[in-house]
Amino acid sequence: MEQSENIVRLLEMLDNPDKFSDSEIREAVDGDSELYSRLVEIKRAQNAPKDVDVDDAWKRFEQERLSEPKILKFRKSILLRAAAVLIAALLTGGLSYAAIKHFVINETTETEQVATEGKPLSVQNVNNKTDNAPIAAEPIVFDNVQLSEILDKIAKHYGFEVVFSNKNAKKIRLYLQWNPQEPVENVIEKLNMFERFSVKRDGQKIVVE
Amino acid sequence: MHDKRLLERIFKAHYPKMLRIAKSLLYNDKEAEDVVFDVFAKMCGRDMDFSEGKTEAYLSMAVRNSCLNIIKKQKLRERIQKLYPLEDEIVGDDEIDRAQLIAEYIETKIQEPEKSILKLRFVDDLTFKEIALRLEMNINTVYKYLTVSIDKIKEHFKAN
Repeated sequence: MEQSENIVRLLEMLDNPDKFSDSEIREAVDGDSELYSRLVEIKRAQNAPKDVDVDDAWKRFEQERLSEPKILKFRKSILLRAAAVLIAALLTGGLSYAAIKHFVINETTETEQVATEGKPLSVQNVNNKTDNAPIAAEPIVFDNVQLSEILDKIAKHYGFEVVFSNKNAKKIRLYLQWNPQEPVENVIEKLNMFERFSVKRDGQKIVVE
Repeated sequence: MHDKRLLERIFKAHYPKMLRIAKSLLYNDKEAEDVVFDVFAKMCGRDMDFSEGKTEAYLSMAVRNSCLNIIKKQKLRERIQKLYPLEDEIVGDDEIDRAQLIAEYIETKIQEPEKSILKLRFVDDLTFKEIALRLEMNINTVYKYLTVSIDKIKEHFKAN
Protein backbone atom coordinates (compact mmCIF):
# COMPACT_ATOMS: atom_id res chain seq x y z
CA MET A 1 0.00 0.00 0.00
CA GLU A 2 1.29 3.48 -0.86
CA GLN A 3 2.39 5.69 2.01
CA SER A 4 -0.37 8.25 1.45
CA GLU A 5 -3.02 5.51 1.25
CA ASN A 6 -1.75 4.08 4.51
CA ILE A 7 -1.95 7.48 6.19
CA VAL A 8 -5.58 7.91 5.14
CA ARG A 9 -6.42 4.38 6.27
CA LEU A 10 -4.80 5.00 9.65
CA LEU A 11 -6.70 8.27 10.10
CA GLU A 12 -9.95 6.51 9.18
CA MET A 13 -9.19 3.89 11.82
CA LEU A 14 -8.83 6.55 14.50
CA ASP A 15 -12.45 7.53 13.96
CA ASN A 16 -13.98 4.09 13.42
CA PRO A 17 -11.73 1.45 14.93
CA ASP A 18 -14.63 -0.97 15.39
CA LYS A 19 -14.88 -1.31 11.62
CA PHE A 20 -11.44 -2.89 11.45
CA SER A 21 -9.90 -6.01 12.86
CA ASP A 22 -7.02 -5.87 15.31
CA SER A 23 -4.63 -7.18 12.69
CA GLU A 24 -5.70 -4.49 10.19
CA ILE A 25 -5.14 -1.82 12.82
CA ARG A 26 -1.75 -3.24 13.70
CA GLU A 27 -0.78 -3.36 10.03
CA ALA A 28 -1.74 0.26 9.50
CA VAL A 29 0.11 1.46 12.61
CA ASP A 30 3.20 -0.61 11.83
CA GLY A 31 3.06 0.63 8.23
CA ASP A 32 3.77 4.12 9.54
CA SER A 33 4.69 3.85 13.23
CA GLU A 34 6.26 7.30 13.18
CA LEU A 35 2.94 8.85 12.16
CA TYR A 36 1.13 7.22 15.07
CA SER A 37 3.85 8.39 17.47
CA ARG A 38 3.53 11.94 16.11
CA LEU A 39 -0.24 11.82 16.62
CA VAL A 40 0.25 10.67 20.22
CA GLU A 41 2.72 13.50 20.77
CA ILE A 42 0.30 16.10 19.46
CA LYS A 43 -2.50 14.65 21.58
CA ARG A 44 -0.23 14.93 24.61
CA ALA A 45 0.74 18.49 23.72
CA GLN A 46 -2.81 19.65 23.10
CA ASN A 47 -4.01 18.22 26.41
CA ALA A 48 -1.18 19.39 28.66
CA PRO A 49 -2.60 21.13 31.71
CA LYS A 50 -2.26 24.88 31.61
CA ASP A 51 -2.98 26.72 34.84
CA VAL A 52 -3.26 24.40 37.80
CA ASP A 53 -5.18 25.74 40.80
CA VAL A 54 -3.55 23.76 43.56
CA ASP A 55 -5.71 25.15 46.36
CA ASP A 56 -8.85 24.23 44.50
CA ALA A 57 -7.46 20.75 43.83
CA TRP A 58 -6.67 20.29 47.50
CA LYS A 59 -10.24 21.22 48.46
CA ARG A 60 -11.62 18.66 46.03
CA PHE A 61 -9.19 16.05 47.31
CA GLU A 62 -10.20 16.77 50.90
CA GLN A 63 -13.87 16.46 50.11
CA GLU A 64 -13.60 13.37 47.96
CA ARG A 65 -10.94 11.38 49.74
CA LEU A 66 -10.37 12.66 53.24
CA SER A 67 -13.89 13.14 54.65
CA GLU A 68 -14.77 10.86 57.59
CA PRO A 69 -15.76 7.53 56.10
CA LYS A 70 -19.53 7.64 55.69
CA ILE A 71 -19.84 4.08 56.97
CA LEU A 72 -18.85 5.33 60.43
CA LYS A 73 -21.45 8.12 60.29
CA PHE A 74 -24.01 5.60 59.12
CA ARG A 75 -23.31 3.21 61.96
CA LYS A 76 -23.34 6.05 64.48
CA SER A 77 -26.74 7.23 63.29
CA ILE A 78 -28.21 3.71 63.48
CA LEU A 79 -26.84 3.13 66.96
CA LEU A 80 -28.17 6.48 68.13
CA ARG A 81 -31.62 5.73 66.77
CA ALA A 82 -31.62 2.25 68.27
CA ALA A 83 -30.57 3.71 71.60
CA ALA A 84 -33.36 6.29 71.42
CA VAL A 85 -35.92 3.56 70.78
CA LEU A 86 -34.69 1.47 73.70
CA ILE A 87 -34.74 4.44 76.04
CA ALA A 88 -38.28 5.31 74.95
CA ALA A 89 -39.33 1.72 75.47
CA LEU A 90 -37.83 1.60 78.92
CA LEU A 91 -39.47 4.86 79.91
CA THR A 92 -42.90 3.97 78.61
CA GLY A 93 -42.65 0.27 79.30
CA GLY A 94 -45.07 -0.22 76.43
CA LEU A 95 -42.95 -1.58 73.56
CA SER A 96 -42.29 -5.25 73.17
CA TYR A 97 -38.87 -6.66 72.36
CA ALA A 98 -40.14 -7.80 68.96
CA ALA A 99 -41.28 -4.30 68.04
CA ILE A 100 -37.91 -2.81 68.92
CA LYS A 101 -36.05 -5.44 66.92
CA HIS A 102 -38.37 -4.89 63.92
CA PHE A 103 -37.79 -1.14 63.95
CA VAL A 104 -34.00 -1.39 64.19
CA ILE A 105 -33.76 -4.01 61.43
CA ASN A 106 -35.98 -1.98 59.06
CA GLU A 107 -33.88 1.13 59.64
CA THR A 108 -30.68 -0.73 58.89
CA THR A 109 -32.00 -2.20 55.63
CA GLU A 110 -33.41 1.07 54.28
CA THR A 111 -30.10 2.19 52.90
CA GLU A 112 -26.97 0.31 51.90
CA GLN A 113 -23.50 1.66 51.65
CA VAL A 114 -20.20 0.30 50.63
CA ALA A 115 -17.12 1.91 52.12
CA THR A 116 -13.65 1.39 50.87
CA GLU A 117 -10.60 3.13 52.18
CA GLY A 118 -10.31 6.60 50.78
CA LYS A 119 -13.00 6.12 48.12
CA PRO A 120 -16.00 8.41 47.62
CA LEU A 121 -19.35 6.93 48.69
CA SER A 122 -22.92 7.44 47.61
CA VAL A 123 -26.15 6.22 49.17
CA GLN A 124 -28.26 3.91 47.10
CA ASN A 125 -31.87 4.03 48.28
CA VAL A 126 -34.26 1.32 47.18
CA ASN A 127 -36.79 3.82 45.86
CA ASN A 128 -34.51 6.51 44.54
CA LYS A 129 -31.25 5.43 43.00
CA THR A 130 -28.58 8.03 42.48
CA ASP A 131 -26.53 8.47 39.32
CA ASN A 132 -23.30 7.43 41.00
CA ALA A 133 -23.37 3.82 42.10
CA PRO A 134 -20.22 2.34 43.63
CA ILE A 135 -20.36 -1.22 42.33
CA ALA A 136 -17.52 -2.62 40.26
CA ALA A 137 -14.11 -1.01 40.42
CA GLU A 138 -13.05 -2.66 37.15
CA PRO A 139 -14.27 -1.30 33.81
CA ILE A 140 -16.70 -3.48 31.86
CA VAL A 141 -15.90 -4.03 28.20
CA PHE A 142 -18.66 -4.55 25.64
CA ASP A 143 -16.99 -6.04 22.60
CA ASN A 144 -19.21 -6.15 19.51
CA VAL A 145 -22.39 -6.12 21.63
CA GLN A 146 -25.75 -4.76 20.46
CA LEU A 147 -26.61 -1.30 21.70
CA SER A 148 -29.91 -2.54 23.16
CA GLU A 149 -28.08 -5.03 25.35
CA ILE A 150 -25.45 -2.48 26.38
CA LEU A 151 -28.04 0.09 27.38
CA ASP A 152 -30.15 -2.46 29.24
CA LYS A 153 -27.23 -3.20 31.50
CA ILE A 154 -26.09 0.40 31.89
CA ALA A 155 -29.59 1.79 32.46
CA LYS A 156 -30.37 -0.88 35.07
CA HIS A 157 -27.20 0.07 36.94
CA TYR A 158 -28.17 3.75 37.12
CA GLY A 159 -31.88 3.09 37.67
CA PHE A 160 -32.91 4.53 34.31
CA GLU A 161 -35.37 3.45 31.63
CA VAL A 162 -34.24 3.13 28.00
CA VAL A 163 -36.35 4.47 25.13
CA PHE A 164 -35.39 3.79 21.52
CA SER A 165 -36.95 6.47 19.26
CA ASN A 166 -34.63 5.09 16.61
CA LYS A 167 -35.54 1.40 16.46
CA ASN A 168 -32.75 0.70 13.98
CA ALA A 169 -30.19 1.68 16.57
CA LYS A 170 -31.07 -1.26 18.81
CA LYS A 171 -29.11 -3.70 16.73
CA ILE A 172 -26.02 -1.57 16.16
CA ARG A 173 -23.01 -3.42 17.52
CA LEU A 174 -20.40 -1.48 19.43
CA TYR A 175 -17.17 -1.71 21.24
CA LEU A 176 -17.50 0.25 24.48
CA GLN A 177 -15.65 0.37 27.72
CA TRP A 178 -17.79 1.39 30.67
CA ASN A 179 -16.75 2.25 34.20
CA PRO A 180 -19.80 1.78 36.47
CA GLN A 181 -18.33 4.30 38.90
CA GLU A 182 -18.55 7.16 36.45
CA PRO A 183 -21.62 9.43 36.31
CA VAL A 184 -24.25 8.66 33.69
CA GLU A 185 -23.49 11.94 31.89
CA ASN A 186 -19.99 10.66 31.07
CA VAL A 187 -21.43 7.48 29.62
CA ILE A 188 -23.93 9.43 27.49
CA GLU A 189 -21.11 11.65 26.23
CA LYS A 190 -19.12 8.56 25.24
CA LEU A 191 -22.07 7.04 23.43
CA ASN A 192 -22.58 10.26 21.48
CA MET A 193 -19.16 9.83 19.94
CA PHE A 194 -20.70 7.15 17.74
CA GLU A 195 -22.14 8.72 14.63
CA ARG A 196 -25.03 6.42 13.79
CA PHE A 197 -27.24 7.44 16.69
CA SER A 198 -27.52 10.04 19.42
CA VAL A 199 -28.28 9.60 23.08
CA LYS A 200 -29.76 12.03 25.54
CA ARG A 201 -31.02 12.00 29.07
CA ASP A 202 -34.63 12.92 29.71
CA GLY A 203 -35.21 12.83 33.44
CA GLN A 204 -34.77 9.20 34.44
CA LYS A 205 -34.87 8.00 30.84
CA ILE A 206 -32.08 7.40 28.37
CA VAL A 207 -33.44 8.21 24.92
CA VAL A 208 -31.78 6.92 21.75
CA GLU A 209 -32.50 8.83 18.53
CA MET B 1 0.89 9.45 57.34
CA HIS B 2 -1.41 10.76 60.01
CA ASP B 3 -0.73 14.47 59.89
CA LYS B 4 -3.15 16.15 57.54
CA ARG B 5 -1.03 19.25 57.39
CA LEU B 6 1.95 17.25 56.20
CA LEU B 7 -0.18 15.62 53.51
CA GLU B 8 -1.48 19.03 52.44
CA ARG B 9 2.04 20.36 52.14
CA ILE B 10 3.17 17.38 50.09
CA PHE B 11 0.03 17.50 47.96
CA LYS B 12 0.42 21.17 47.11
CA ALA B 13 4.11 20.79 46.38
CA HIS B 14 3.71 17.85 44.00
CA TYR B 15 0.18 17.94 42.60
CA PRO B 16 0.96 20.09 39.52
CA LYS B 17 3.73 17.81 38.32
CA MET B 18 1.76 14.65 39.06
CA LEU B 19 -1.21 16.01 37.13
CA ARG B 20 1.07 16.81 34.18
CA ILE B 21 2.36 13.24 34.21
CA ALA B 22 -1.14 11.76 34.40
CA LYS B 23 -2.50 14.05 31.68
CA SER B 24 0.46 13.27 29.43
CA LEU B 25 -0.74 9.65 29.42
CA LEU B 26 -4.52 9.76 29.91
CA TYR B 27 -5.28 13.24 28.44
CA ASN B 28 -8.66 13.49 30.20
CA ASP B 29 -8.84 15.97 33.13
CA LYS B 30 -11.08 13.87 35.36
CA GLU B 31 -9.37 10.55 34.74
CA ALA B 32 -5.94 12.10 35.32
CA GLU B 33 -7.05 13.77 38.52
CA ASP B 34 -8.64 10.56 39.81
CA VAL B 35 -5.36 8.72 39.38
CA VAL B 36 -3.41 11.45 41.15
CA PHE B 37 -5.94 11.63 43.99
CA ASP B 38 -5.77 7.85 44.38
CA VAL B 39 -2.01 7.97 44.70
CA PHE B 40 -2.08 10.73 47.32
CA ALA B 41 -4.91 9.02 49.22
CA LYS B 42 -2.87 5.82 49.46
CA MET B 43 -0.13 7.74 51.20
CA CYS B 44 -2.43 8.21 54.18
CA GLY B 45 -1.66 5.82 56.98
CA ARG B 46 1.63 4.72 55.50
CA ASP B 47 4.95 5.15 57.15
CA MET B 48 7.16 6.60 54.46
CA ASP B 49 10.33 8.54 54.04
CA PHE B 50 9.09 11.97 52.99
CA SER B 51 12.40 13.53 52.13
CA GLU B 52 11.96 15.73 49.07
CA GLY B 53 13.64 13.65 46.37
CA LYS B 54 12.16 10.35 47.51
CA THR B 55 8.62 11.68 47.72
CA GLU B 56 8.67 12.98 44.17
CA ALA B 57 10.23 9.77 42.86
CA TYR B 58 7.64 7.64 44.65
CA LEU B 59 4.71 9.77 43.47
CA SER B 60 5.95 9.95 39.86
CA MET B 61 6.39 6.22 39.65
CA ALA B 62 3.03 5.51 41.28
CA VAL B 63 1.16 7.91 38.97
CA ARG B 64 2.87 6.58 35.84
CA ASN B 65 2.22 2.96 36.77
CA SER B 66 -1.43 3.64 37.54
CA CYS B 67 -1.90 5.37 34.20
CA LEU B 68 -0.12 2.63 32.28
CA ASN B 69 -2.25 0.00 34.02
CA ILE B 70 -5.40 1.81 32.91
CA ILE B 71 -4.11 1.99 29.33
CA LYS B 72 -3.02 -1.67 29.27
CA LYS B 73 -6.47 -2.84 30.33
CA GLN B 74 -7.99 -1.30 27.22
CA LYS B 75 -8.26 -3.19 23.98
CA LEU B 76 -6.35 -2.13 20.89
CA ARG B 77 -9.35 -0.42 19.27
CA GLU B 78 -10.05 1.74 22.27
CA ARG B 79 -6.38 2.59 22.68
CA ILE B 80 -6.12 3.74 19.10
CA GLN B 81 -9.35 5.71 19.30
CA LYS B 82 -8.02 7.58 22.34
CA LEU B 83 -4.51 7.85 20.86
CA TYR B 84 -2.95 6.07 23.80
CA PRO B 85 0.55 4.73 23.26
CA LEU B 86 0.34 1.20 21.88
CA GLU B 87 3.55 -0.05 23.38
CA ASP B 88 4.98 0.52 26.83
CA GLU B 89 6.15 4.05 26.48
CA ILE B 90 8.41 5.84 28.84
CA VAL B 91 6.90 9.27 29.41
CA GLY B 92 9.48 11.05 31.45
CA ASP B 93 10.28 14.69 32.08
CA ASP B 94 11.78 15.06 28.61
CA GLU B 95 8.58 13.90 26.92
CA ILE B 96 6.47 16.19 29.10
CA ASP B 97 8.72 19.17 28.37
CA ARG B 98 8.62 18.37 24.68
CA ALA B 99 4.82 18.28 24.81
CA GLN B 100 4.85 21.76 26.31
CA LEU B 101 7.13 23.02 23.52
CA ILE B 102 4.94 21.43 20.84
CA ALA B 103 1.89 23.07 22.40
CA GLU B 104 3.61 26.46 22.27
CA TYR B 105 4.72 25.90 18.67
CA ILE B 106 1.17 25.00 17.62
CA GLU B 107 -0.18 28.07 19.38
CA THR B 108 2.30 30.49 17.85
CA LYS B 109 3.41 29.06 14.51
CA ILE B 110 0.66 26.88 13.09
CA GLN B 111 -1.81 28.83 10.98
CA GLU B 112 -5.48 28.34 10.25
CA PRO B 113 -7.20 26.12 9.30
CA GLU B 114 -4.57 23.66 10.55
CA LYS B 115 -4.68 25.06 14.06
CA SER B 116 -8.43 24.59 14.26
CA ILE B 117 -8.16 21.08 12.86
CA LEU B 118 -5.62 20.16 15.53
CA LYS B 119 -7.80 21.58 18.29
CA LEU B 120 -11.01 20.00 17.03
CA ARG B 121 -9.37 16.61 16.66
CA PHE B 122 -7.05 16.43 19.63
CA VAL B 123 -8.86 18.49 22.24
CA ASP B 124 -12.53 18.36 21.30
CA ASP B 125 -12.25 14.76 19.97
CA LEU B 126 -14.33 15.37 16.87
CA THR B 127 -14.05 12.80 14.09
CA PHE B 128 -12.45 13.90 10.83
CA LYS B 129 -15.85 13.67 9.18
CA GLU B 130 -17.32 16.04 11.81
CA ILE B 131 -14.37 18.41 11.37
CA ALA B 132 -14.91 18.42 7.60
CA LEU B 133 -18.58 19.32 8.14
CA ARG B 134 -17.76 21.97 10.71
CA LEU B 135 -15.11 23.64 8.54
CA GLU B 136 -17.05 23.04 5.32
CA MET B 137 -14.29 21.22 3.57
CA ASN B 138 -13.74 17.84 1.96
CA ILE B 139 -12.51 15.17 4.37
CA ASN B 140 -9.44 14.53 2.23
CA THR B 141 -8.56 18.19 2.59
CA VAL B 142 -8.76 17.77 6.35
CA TYR B 143 -6.39 14.81 6.14
CA LYS B 144 -4.03 16.84 3.97
CA TYR B 145 -3.93 19.79 6.37
CA LEU B 146 -3.34 17.44 9.27
CA THR B 147 -0.39 15.69 7.62
CA VAL B 148 1.09 19.05 6.59
CA SER B 149 0.97 20.32 10.18
CA ILE B 150 2.44 17.05 11.49
CA ASP B 151 5.33 17.42 9.02
CA LYS B 152 5.89 21.04 10.06
CA ILE B 153 6.05 20.08 13.73
CA LYS B 154 8.38 17.18 12.97
CA GLU B 155 10.74 19.35 10.88
CA HIS B 156 10.83 22.14 13.45
CA PHE B 157 11.76 19.86 16.31
CA LYS B 158 14.23 17.87 14.25
CA ALA B 159 16.04 21.11 13.42
CA ASN B 160 16.03 22.16 17.06
